[in-house]
Amino acid sequence: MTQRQQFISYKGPTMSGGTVFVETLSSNTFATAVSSGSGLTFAAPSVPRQGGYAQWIPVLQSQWKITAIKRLNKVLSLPQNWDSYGSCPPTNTAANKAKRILTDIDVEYFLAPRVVPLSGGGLQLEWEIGPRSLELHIYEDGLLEFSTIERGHDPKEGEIYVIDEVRQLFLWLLSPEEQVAA
Amino acid sequence: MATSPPTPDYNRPPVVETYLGVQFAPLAQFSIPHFGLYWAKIRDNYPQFEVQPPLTPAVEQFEPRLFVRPKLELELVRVPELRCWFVEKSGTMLNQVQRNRFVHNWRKLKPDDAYVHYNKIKPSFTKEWKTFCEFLDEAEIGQPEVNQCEMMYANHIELGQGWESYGELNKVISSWSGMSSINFLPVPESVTIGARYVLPDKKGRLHIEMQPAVTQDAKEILQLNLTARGKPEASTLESILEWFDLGHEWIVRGFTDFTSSEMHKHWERKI
Repeated sequence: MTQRQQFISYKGPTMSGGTVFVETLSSNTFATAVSSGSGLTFAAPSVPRQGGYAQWIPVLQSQWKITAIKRLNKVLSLPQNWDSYGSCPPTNTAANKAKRILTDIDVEYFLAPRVVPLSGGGLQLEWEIGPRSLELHIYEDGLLEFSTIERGHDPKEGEIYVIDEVRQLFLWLLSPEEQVAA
Repeated sequence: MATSPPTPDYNRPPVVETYLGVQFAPLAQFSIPHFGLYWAKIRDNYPQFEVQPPLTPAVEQFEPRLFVRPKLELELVRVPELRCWFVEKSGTMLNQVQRNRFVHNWRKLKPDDAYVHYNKIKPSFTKEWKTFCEFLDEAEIGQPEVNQCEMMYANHIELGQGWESYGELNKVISSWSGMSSINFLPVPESVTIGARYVLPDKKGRLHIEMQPAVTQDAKEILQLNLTARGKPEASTLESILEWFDLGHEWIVRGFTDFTSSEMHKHWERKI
């Protein structure tokens, strides 16, 4: 998948024979490029929006992130010995890593994950779409690993070093099978 | 002549950001090099910059017109429109500049930062706007013809600080009763409110928007934004500041009217 394809939310023809790509970056920002025979021309966004929006402090308004944070906060309030085998609740390190993933990931429209505590103080975020599922394991020391399962394919696992790799996994979850996998 | 009661004031208001801004007819001569030249003028106090996508024009209309369904429009341009952020060295003040806008923001950086009152933001805006206009003069770009003033107060009302769920929204918002006719619906999962009010003599509007949100440090909040926008009498500094005084009054009184007296106690209302 090319870098440009990762960001396409709409692709269509223009009357002059070029192609327009539109990426929705957030609920009030679009980036648009038009390619024609002579190369790229920038297209200025022109979507009117009421209300003040020259804001500096960003907040997360996407519903999936709000739901995810609520679920995470519930899990973080578990007591000691929540599993009756003496496990501690998720560590601050695991909690902060989970919060970072959910707040930093640049995806506005998505599903909220299941949030599951792990014995030993870790956390797991789980998504399932059709035949594919994705689990992010956040260990008590902040180590982040993923595992992906797809019906009819071998499961895949690995360590994640950069939050942006999570976005790639989201794209894999959403993509039709014939496009690039994680 | 009857005098208005003093504008409400709080010791611990939930406000986290305010801005004063003006919109003007696009400055035809203002181009990319001028961002750098302006920055050179303010760089001692505003050492950092960021490039952002531009803000689209927003004008309060009062004439009747046909409803037009919002649609995405593309306008091909030779040079992309830009907005530049110039961040003040403390990290709490910001100037935003584009060909048709100038905005001056204050934000709360740390939870225990004191709120910067209007009587400090207003002279701060005045100083920065004068500097910008001075720059435009020196660069022979011409003076802006201001067509809108806009000011915004953003409030973060944290879950657990006076309210525990959307079933208790009536504890926060005075016009939300939380009552029902037949007791069928459960507690809402979320509530979003949008209201707008016309300022006296159609000098503009006050927009109130409340919606669930999560902060960057993962706190659940109600984001309550009050934005006043409208046309000043003239493009002069005096008229712009006079409009801001009206906008400020409507934002502060509007905030006090819109929120509950229970929360006013929580925010330590002193006037």
